[in-house]
Amino acid sequence: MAEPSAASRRFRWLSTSWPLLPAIVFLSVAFVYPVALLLSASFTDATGSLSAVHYTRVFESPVVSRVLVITFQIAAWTTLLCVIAAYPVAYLLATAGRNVRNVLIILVLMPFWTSFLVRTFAWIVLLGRNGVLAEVAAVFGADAPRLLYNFTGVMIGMVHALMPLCVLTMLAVMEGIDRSLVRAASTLGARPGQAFLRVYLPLSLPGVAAGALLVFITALGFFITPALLGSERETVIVQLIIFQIRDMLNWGFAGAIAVMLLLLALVIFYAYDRLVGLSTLSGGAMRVDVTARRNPIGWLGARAGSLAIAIAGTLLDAFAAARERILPPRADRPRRPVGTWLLWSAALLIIGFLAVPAFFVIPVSFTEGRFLSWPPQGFSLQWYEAVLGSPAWTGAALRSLVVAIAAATLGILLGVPAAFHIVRRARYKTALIGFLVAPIVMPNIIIAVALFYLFAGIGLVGTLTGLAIGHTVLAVPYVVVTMVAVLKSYDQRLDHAAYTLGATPARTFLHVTLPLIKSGVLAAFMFAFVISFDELTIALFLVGGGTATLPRRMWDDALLQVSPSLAAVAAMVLVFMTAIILISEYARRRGSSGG
Amino acid sequence: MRGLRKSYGDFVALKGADFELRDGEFLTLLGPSGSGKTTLLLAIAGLNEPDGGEIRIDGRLATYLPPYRRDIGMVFQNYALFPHMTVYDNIAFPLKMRRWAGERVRPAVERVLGIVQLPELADRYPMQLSGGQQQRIALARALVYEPSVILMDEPLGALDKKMRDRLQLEIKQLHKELNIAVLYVTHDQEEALVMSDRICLMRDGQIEQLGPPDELYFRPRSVFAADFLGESNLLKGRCATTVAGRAKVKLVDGGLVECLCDAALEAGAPVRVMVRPEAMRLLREGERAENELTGILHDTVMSGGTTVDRFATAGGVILMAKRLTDGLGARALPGETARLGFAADRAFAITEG
Ligand SMILES: Nc1ncnc2c1ncn2[C@@H]1O[C@H](COP(=O)(O)OP(=O)(O)O)[C@@H](O)[C@H]1O
Ligand SMILES: [Mg+2]
Repeated sequence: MAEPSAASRRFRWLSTSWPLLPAIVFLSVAFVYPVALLLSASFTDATGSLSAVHYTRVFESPVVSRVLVITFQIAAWTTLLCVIAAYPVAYLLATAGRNVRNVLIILVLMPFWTSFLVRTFAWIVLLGRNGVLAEVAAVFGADAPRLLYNFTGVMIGMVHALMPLCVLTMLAVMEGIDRSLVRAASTLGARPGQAFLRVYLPLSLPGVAAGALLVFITALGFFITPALLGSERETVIVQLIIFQIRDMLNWGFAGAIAVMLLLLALVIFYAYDRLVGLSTLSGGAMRVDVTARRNPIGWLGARAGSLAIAIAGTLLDAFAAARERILPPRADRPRRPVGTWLLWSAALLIIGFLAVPAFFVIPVSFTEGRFLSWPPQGFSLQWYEAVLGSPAWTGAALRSLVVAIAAATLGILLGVPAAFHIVRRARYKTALIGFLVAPIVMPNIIIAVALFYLFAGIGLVGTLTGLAIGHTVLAVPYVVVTMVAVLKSYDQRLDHAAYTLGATPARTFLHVTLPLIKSGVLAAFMFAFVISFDELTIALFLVGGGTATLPRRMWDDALLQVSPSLAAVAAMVLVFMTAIILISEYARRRGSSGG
Repeated sequence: MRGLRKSYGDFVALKGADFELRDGEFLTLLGPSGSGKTTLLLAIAGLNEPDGGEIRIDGRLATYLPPYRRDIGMVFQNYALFPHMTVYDNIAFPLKMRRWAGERVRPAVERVLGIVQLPELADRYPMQLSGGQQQRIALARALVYEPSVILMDEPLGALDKKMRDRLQLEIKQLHKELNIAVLYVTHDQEEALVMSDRICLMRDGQIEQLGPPDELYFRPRSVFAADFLGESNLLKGRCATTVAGRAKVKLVDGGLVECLCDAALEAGAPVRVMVRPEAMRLLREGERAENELTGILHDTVMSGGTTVDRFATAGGVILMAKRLTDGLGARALPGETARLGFAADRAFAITEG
């Protein structure tokens, strides 16, 4: 028999894989190509010939290394604090009843969905010189501790911004942990502490690790919070890149710094893979193949981990045994659920920290004064009038809306077919998901700079089209991730049933599949919409002046002064976003209870 | 265990259950799902707190004692093997928690692995085992520290029929060899009959009847019990006279039958006479029986080793007669009138109400 010719093989591949093509082509052109272009720019000197001049500068410059260190420090501390605070919240959400969970999860998601900028302003309102904290301290005749424009301020803002991500990642893993395992441990003689340490903790570790990784990588690319809540000392790498490009026009040097950032991220990914395995990111199991020879890092990590657990377990047990000697457990009356109380109070405090601050921007926006202060003076709508009457603001809002809708729509059109293909057909699932999700993993600043570099040559800088393309690069991964999760739980036998009942594939899709995944598609759309509506990094490079989006204008304004008019904008954005979340949450519930 | 009560919110899951598990006994909690078996078992294990009543283990009060102080072994329905530990570590877990000296652990683990006949699996992870193997490892883990009682909550529920039959016998065998008390939960009446020394039949959070399998089978105290364990013919009637554990019952359909009864049964009480299908016989021409009924043959169903003939009485009640399948074909044709008979000591009067 003749081998199938190359052409016919290619045709067969095309006829089954066409749903993937648009997404892959788009990301190749709008993501891979510009990033490669930027990286190559970092290897050429001013005359255009190959040289390592930018890298020698990077290594020689004391500024770059200092900024790299502080960026790393900020990311590391943020990760640590996020993980510690997110764990009890995720644990509570995973173990609470359904109704409790549904309410709490909205509160946790609230900051996740509300604009980064709005949240950052909220902290300025709370912790600033005339802020709520200062006012409360004054009542007690004390000076408020300085929590703003220093490392503490950056930490508060960053942890607040990134913790929901961490909670959600952990929750996904914790929900998969069989509750009877801890019960089994206790009937087998383990005290609660031991049962937690030896059974629950190790099983939740993939979630903790994945959450930590996501927070760390995201934190590396953060600059809004350090810029607005930190001091000169808390200058991060992204700010350095922005400075190099905007003020020095030094592409090569900026590219070299970006490469350093990327390398740092890759090293972290590598270590992560060795320690726990990249498959945990998509809900897979931790690696178990650790032998000292094949994977020394993983082996050491596993040893250290089990040693730490053994030590902690022994200590906890000794402590609990001592307590029981003084206060033996009574067989004749119910135990007091001290642990549960502790968990609830800790988790509620943390959830309060997440959900409450944003709402402080609302009252201050009604002030009569010219500056932000607490309590707001009098009541007036003047700032709202000023904002709504200003074409600069309304135009920015309109542009944001248009771009967000365009990006979310494009993201759905590209991402949904790809997700279908990945779940139902694809052979190289992990690799494909990896490729499509790469834009989330890549620090936004690199995408922004790369796109700027590419668009500058073809006249797309300063246009909404360019920005929409940039935001679509970010939207595709979120749509793919959301839809893959939705489609994985979709029972394909329903489609098969429709086929046997005489429906064509098209009609089946229209009348069976689509109605069932509708709420998933809607969620993906909202996700992409919010990502774009709130996006600043790419907007910072691609638009400005007459084409500024809302976040871009808020940012420019905030650099000058955080004024009551900004609070009014923030309040409106907050209400708008909250409404969107509640609507989509409502739609999701109706969708899931109906299907 | 006495007067145990438990409610979830407004819903009362357990309404005062009372029983005693004797040393070395195999006691089964049997009941339809939702009858409170798991709730009861969890209370005994210390995994939920009863609202009232008391639990004693080895004579000591344990009602609210935390589970890790009870010295109870529990086998969960889904096995609850720790997925991140090898079989060996799973079984060694309770020993570590009990601070056994290192050199005693390995022999103990190897011993129970031998008992459940899976010594070669020590280094595997639970995910790499079949359902039946996981079940046996879960059992080994509950046995290794030699607790005074083992609780099992529908341990065979997730297995296929063949595996279930095999493990039923194995568990029963183990129970005999090791001489530990077992409290076993199932909703499968056959399983309960095969395995138990005594069966505790539960319904809506209460104990319906507690006794050895044959007592539950032949002398059910309620229609529910008669229905739940095996099949039964139930004839409505009123007790006419009782003499020395036997009653004469006047049936609603007419006719008088004699059957066994409880000493407490009084003349005049409404009863149902229960006759198991295998005690009901199709009578041949001229053959007589202590009790006789007539009916019209409705249909005949052969299910392997046994064949059931179903009859309709004049009053519209369906009667079943079960016999061994013999390959000789039908005894009568549908529509024919036939006489049915049963012995008085194979029928039992259940008090109604
Ligand atoms: N955690 C719970 N919360 C509320 N109701 C429960 C809970 N656990 C069990 N129930 C209810 O209590 C009743 C008895 O349940 P269970 O003991 O699990 O029954 P069984 O094991 O006999 O099937 C059921 O109706 C069940 O719905
Ligand atoms: Mg149950």
